[in-house]
Amino acid sequence: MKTKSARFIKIKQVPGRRPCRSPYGGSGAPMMKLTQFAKSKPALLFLAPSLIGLLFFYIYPFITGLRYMFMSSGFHAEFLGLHNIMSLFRSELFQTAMFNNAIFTLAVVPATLILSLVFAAFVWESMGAGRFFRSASVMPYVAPTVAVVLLWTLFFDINGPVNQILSWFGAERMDWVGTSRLRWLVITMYLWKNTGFNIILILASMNVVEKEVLESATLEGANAFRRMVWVVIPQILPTIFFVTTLSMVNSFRIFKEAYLIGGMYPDESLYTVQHFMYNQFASLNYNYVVSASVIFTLFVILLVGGLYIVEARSRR
Amino acid sequence: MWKRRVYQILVKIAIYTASAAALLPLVLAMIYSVTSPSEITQYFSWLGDSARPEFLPVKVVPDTLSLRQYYDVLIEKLYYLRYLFNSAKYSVGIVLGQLAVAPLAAYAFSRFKFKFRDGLFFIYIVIMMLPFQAYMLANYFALDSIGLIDSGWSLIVPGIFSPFSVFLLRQYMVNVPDEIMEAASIDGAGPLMKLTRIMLPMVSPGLAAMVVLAFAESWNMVEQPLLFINDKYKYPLSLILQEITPVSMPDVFAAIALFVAFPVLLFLIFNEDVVRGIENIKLPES
Repeated sequence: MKTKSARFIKIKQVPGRRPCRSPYGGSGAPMMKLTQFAKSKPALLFLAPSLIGLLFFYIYPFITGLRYMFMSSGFHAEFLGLHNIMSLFRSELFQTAMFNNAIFTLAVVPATLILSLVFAAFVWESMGAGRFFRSASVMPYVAPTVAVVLLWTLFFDINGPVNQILSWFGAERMDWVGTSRLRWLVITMYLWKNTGFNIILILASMNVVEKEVLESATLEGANAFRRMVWVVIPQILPTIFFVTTLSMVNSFRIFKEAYLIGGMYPDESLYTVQHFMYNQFASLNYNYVVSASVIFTLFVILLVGGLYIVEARSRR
Repeated sequence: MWKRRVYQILVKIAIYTASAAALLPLVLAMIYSVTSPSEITQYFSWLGDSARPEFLPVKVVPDTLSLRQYYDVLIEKLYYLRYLFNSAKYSVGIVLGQLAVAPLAAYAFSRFKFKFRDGLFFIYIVIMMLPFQAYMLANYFALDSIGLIDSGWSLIVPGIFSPFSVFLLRQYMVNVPDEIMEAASIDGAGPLMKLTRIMLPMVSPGLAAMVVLAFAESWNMVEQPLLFINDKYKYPLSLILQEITPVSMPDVFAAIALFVAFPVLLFLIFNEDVVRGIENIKLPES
């Protein structure tokens, strides 16, 4: 083999001429280098516009901004170590905000999970009404929030339908909007917006449930509820984890609702970490803003990373 | 047997009730936008009045129909129309930008193997999942460094690089069979040719879903203008519609109806594709 190929090259080679030469003259014009690079690494070329934008607007300034975490604000910045983070956690305003965020997340994640599982099960079992229901349940997700805030406050008005429905069960009229019960308004809006999205995800995963197992369960006499709990849910467990993570991450995105209802300085029950960050930004306390961003980012990295691991395990 | 029948009917009722609940606020906004202004003003003046003895019935059928508010909003006052135009500018800019950038990146992530690919995609997913507040300062610094603060571009340019569209399109592109792409290579098509002539037509439902979701997201923007824009005249309509006075109430409903119509109509046109697009959202298997 070796001798054969060597001879082959010898024949092809023209003496006195470099094997690779640019047609534009000179050795290796820049154009030529670029096309060669494109041929060897086309992926990077395709990725470049998106990656450069992401680096410029998101990643690089985020990383350089990290220095504010350890510095005092103002012109004569000095190194403070972990002092900023400690004082952030000691700040009463931040504690209130964290508490509100935690309450909100803890309320919303199980609620949306249960609601979306129940309705996905309903649609899946009944098989009818699927298409209309799917479209209707995505509608809140694409509708702008500001358009519905007014109507939700109407529903939760002291004379409104929510109080009326509660009164059928013997409840007193309550002031939802002027008190810390405002929280419920935001929780309802979150559920209204995100549950449909989760239903679609869960329904999609239910379609891959093995029909044979299901049929044999039916023959054994399992009713709809038992089939759901013992046959379907174990098979769609990865999706349930995914939906849980997604709901958690989305629960950090309530600022829009909270702001449109209560403005930049809402009732204390609606004051979130996001409000805190805006207010600190307005008073140029970048160190607090950066610290809070880092907390959010770490939290999301942990959640998504955990999800990756769980999914990899479940696939095995 | 009848037990099963009753169960099925109950399930149907639950499903239709939930659908109605999902649509109710939007439908009511539409109805209120064609209700006569005096009726709206009177109805909403009862809000928050704890002295009122009885509950406010939800008004579903207007007593008098009126298009007066639409005349106000579209022809006479132009206050809302101006901001609607701002919203349109920003959203169209973002969607067009994403259409230029996201398919290329999605193609790289789905069809090539390169170093750090999966790690990089993980970063995309993390950024996609972050709330805006986590990177608002980063965006601000970057925009400030190129002098775009307080310009309309500050709302468009960072939005173009939103990782969600890349993620969504990648999910479609990984499902395109290898054989098709290989056949194109044998016919002598380069990577760019393969993307534009074969890949993009094959994932056109994904592009539709991407356009609808990106448009809806940007149409709904609230946080960015609060931070990047000082000049109120550059605000999108999504921030203007929350300023309500009892007098402006009828006009606000007309403006809301117009505002909602854009993403909702877009969604209704492509609703099958959007639902399929959401179904495709999952973590990559690598």
